[in-house]
Amino acid sequence: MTDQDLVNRPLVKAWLWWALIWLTFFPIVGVLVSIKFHHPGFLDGIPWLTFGRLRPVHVNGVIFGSFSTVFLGLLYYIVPRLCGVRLYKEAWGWGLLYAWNAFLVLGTVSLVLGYNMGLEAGEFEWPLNLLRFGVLGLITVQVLGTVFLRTERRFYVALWYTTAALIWTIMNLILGNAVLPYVEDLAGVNSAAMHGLYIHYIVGLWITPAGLALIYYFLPLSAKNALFSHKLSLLGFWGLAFFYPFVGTHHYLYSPIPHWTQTLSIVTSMLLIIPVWTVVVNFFGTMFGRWGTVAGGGGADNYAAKFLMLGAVYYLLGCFQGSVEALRRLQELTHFNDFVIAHSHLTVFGTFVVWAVGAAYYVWPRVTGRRLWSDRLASWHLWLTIGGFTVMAVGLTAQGFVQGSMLEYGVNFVDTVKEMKPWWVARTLGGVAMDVALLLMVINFYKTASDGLPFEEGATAPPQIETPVEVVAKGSWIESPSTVFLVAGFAFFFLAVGVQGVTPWLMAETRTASVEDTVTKAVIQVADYTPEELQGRQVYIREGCWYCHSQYVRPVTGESFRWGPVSQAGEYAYDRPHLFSTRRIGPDLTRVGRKYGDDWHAAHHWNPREVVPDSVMPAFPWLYESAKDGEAPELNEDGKAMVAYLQKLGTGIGDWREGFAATQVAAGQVLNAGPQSQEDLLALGRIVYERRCVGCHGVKGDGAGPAARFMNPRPRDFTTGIFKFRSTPSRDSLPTDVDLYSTITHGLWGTAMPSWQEISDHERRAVVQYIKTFSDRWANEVVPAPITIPAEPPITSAALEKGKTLFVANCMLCHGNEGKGDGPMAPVIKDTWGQPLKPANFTLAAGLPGGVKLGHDAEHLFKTATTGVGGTPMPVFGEHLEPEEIWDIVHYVQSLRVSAHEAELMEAGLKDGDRERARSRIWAGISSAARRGDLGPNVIALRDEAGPMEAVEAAHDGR
Amino acid sequence: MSGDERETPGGKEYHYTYAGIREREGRVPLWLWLVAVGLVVWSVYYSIVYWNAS
Repeated sequence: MTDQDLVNRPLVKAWLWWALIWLTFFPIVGVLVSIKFHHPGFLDGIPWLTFGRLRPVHVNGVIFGSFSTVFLGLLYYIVPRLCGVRLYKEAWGWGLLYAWNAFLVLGTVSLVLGYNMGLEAGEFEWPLNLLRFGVLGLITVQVLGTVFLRTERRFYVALWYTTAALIWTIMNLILGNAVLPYVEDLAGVNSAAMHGLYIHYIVGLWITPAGLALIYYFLPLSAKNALFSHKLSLLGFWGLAFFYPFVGTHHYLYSPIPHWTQTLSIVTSMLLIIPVWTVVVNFFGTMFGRWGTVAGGGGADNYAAKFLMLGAVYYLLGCFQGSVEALRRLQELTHFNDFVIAHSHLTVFGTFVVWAVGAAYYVWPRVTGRRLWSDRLASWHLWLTIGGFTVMAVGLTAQGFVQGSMLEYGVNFVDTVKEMKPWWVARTLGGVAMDVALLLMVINFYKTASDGLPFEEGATAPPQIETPVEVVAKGSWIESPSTVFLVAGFAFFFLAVGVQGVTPWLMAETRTASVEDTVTKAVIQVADYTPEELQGRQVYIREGCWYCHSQYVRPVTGESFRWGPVSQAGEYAYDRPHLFSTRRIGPDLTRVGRKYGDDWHAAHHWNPREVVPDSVMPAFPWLYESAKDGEAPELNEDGKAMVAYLQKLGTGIGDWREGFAATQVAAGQVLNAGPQSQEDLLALGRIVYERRCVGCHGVKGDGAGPAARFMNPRPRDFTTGIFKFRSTPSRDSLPTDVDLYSTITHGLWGTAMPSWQEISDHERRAVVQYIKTFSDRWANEVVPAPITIPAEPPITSAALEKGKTLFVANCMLCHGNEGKGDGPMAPVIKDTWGQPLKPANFTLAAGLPGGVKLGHDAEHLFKTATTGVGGTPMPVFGEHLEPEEIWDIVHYVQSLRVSAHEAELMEAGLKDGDRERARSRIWAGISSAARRGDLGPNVIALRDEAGPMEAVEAAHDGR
Repeated sequence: MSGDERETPGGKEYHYTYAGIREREGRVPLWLWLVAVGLVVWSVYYSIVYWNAS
């Protein structure tokens, strides 16, 4: 039987024509995406061309389009030749080709239109999943049918991998497309644990075995040498089949997924070194004695071998990188950054696409009947790939270490993004070289088919061996189709899913909405999303925000200092699907809720670079109503919903933000340095200002920056030299440097002014000096000495009672009887610039609009009550009241927040037995007197059997 | 019809008739066995020490 009798060449050729299209199209999408990293304005403002829409097109496209189309097409060539019979139900191949391309085209369109399931590598909606499943299922039937009808007795290693890849992927698609998105109970950390498996099965149990099938088949043929070792093939296959199914959890190390599953994933990731080195030794062994011929030779077969061995080198490097990046210490530095992207490109492109390319070089002349048109073009293809890919892989690996080290050192996140931009330019150039190389291949293949010289198999065929005279070996049971099918395909897969996915799912600790309140350490329950927040979550998924923003805070590299408390499992109880993410191109958003005001989000999504000049985030103008002339555009329903969702994030673990950023700083001596050192800081201060402040406060410091039109309250006009919070005594006096430093460090809750504790102390000191240049007052006036804050007296029920009386007498008109900012004067008061002003609601949690802006800290409140609030009608009470009286007012105001805080905890499920301890801890968080134990027993004790709200009232009254 | 197995100077070899591929029985180098054993030993150690630790 001849090759012509076994292989349907027109069918293989048709698959490969389409493969050539996808081999060029989807990597080009990657270049477009890459350009956006260093030139974020490129193709910006168009919904279907944002990073969040194009990224899944690139990733899914390269996996299922560029690589898989070649692989599936070549199965119609490989399987009949390895089995000695024509493919089972061969005619299906035409329909499957059209169906596969329909899946790729419709899938791409659906992704750019924003249809996204929110699961990485599992983004497609169900009709497309069904189409993909149907094609792969029928091809599996064709392959298995051919295998079981084969006349070749021995079952070659390429067929082990092919069979296993198809079986694994059929089951994995059920897991990722039918179970993960639709099983109601599979939420939060369990969704992440299962998704970690799914996402890595796409790589490890689809393209890896498929790629290995290609190189095992085509390397001996193209190098014209025997495969080095059948024993190595066995060790490599079974090593991969046993270890790979367990490794997926390493995508979410340091997350709240049970740690033992993370440890198992680390161990099996490292053990993968065994099969990887095994197969690479096999490939290099196969090249023994053939290096010179292949390296120096022309023609399709030699170029096939060159690409296959190039991919083998990348496989060795990429897989070693993948194994060691699963180690906890390395992952601390490299996870979420470009090191991981280097790994994914080394494997998916460098290895598997390059192997597919090598295989195509071998097959194309045989299915077209033409010799390769140009060795020179093939050479350019090879060397542009090597050059471009080296720049990309080395650059991405290095920049991963650079960014990881910067973050571990404590550098502000956006600064690390800025540092990446030159590297990203190099990545784009590397990608362009790789894409040009693929285009050259397409041209070469086109010209081969149209103008190539006739191809004769005999001229390039491997040395023929005489007809056997001895009994043929069938191979042992361990390499039989049934063993591969049942043990590798099913048993190992279910074992891993059972251990790594189902077992943690059955554990109570992963199925709870209970968390530890960060302030009181009591157990509370996380609230479910509101309908608006859920709508916002869908917008977040649709726009692909989760491709750039992770949602879990790890207990490493200072993340809990940068973003907030470490993540707890219960926080994610209502997350279906989870949105942990695997990448941080922007900062983690787990704790972004209440960090900024809604107005900041409105300005930021309209044009991120107006607010954060170094941002690479896309603009989202379609989340706004049409803007009226001169007015800031308003968020539409989708935009408001997304902001509502963002403001919810991180708020389920209690009022942690109250104590997160320091209100009091003890750096006065350093800050009030001599005039020369202050002048030296100006140059740095200008840089800091232009990168962080200018968007709102404007180039001239007049509060008229490009984003200011969105802000309410308006950004501070620095030219007046009037600041809200000061320690200097008289009305609207100049603040000290420490005052400005404190405001910058802490931020002003409920407004667009964020905390800048993430930038260095040096930068904050410098920008303080620069801000002072905007007003002549610093040149013409003396900054008064700050007030002295007397030691905080004990908090007693008598003091609270007195404080209430004083509060009603002095504060009620604006702040209202209950301190909610709703006094009779509240609707009419205005600031110095005539803008309406809302008195603070003392009962609100940190960061909520309308609440206090610099915290409920006792000394801060004392200072504010004593010196007044600059630019507002808030009196300077230090001129009318004694310090003891001000302390009483402060403690009463604090008690309002303590009671409200306790009520919030009761609503979140705080048990009665935990209330006293909780109240004590809330007080300790905002009062130094409480921390040293000067908290009267009547202030925290529950006095009666009253219900929760009555008890809170009782606490207010000091009863 | 099917492939054949035969002794060659490089060891036992199998020839796949229709694919044209030759495959040696080959061996697993000792150093690779040592790498494998070393990794397995390390895995046991790591699993015990870091089973439930982050």
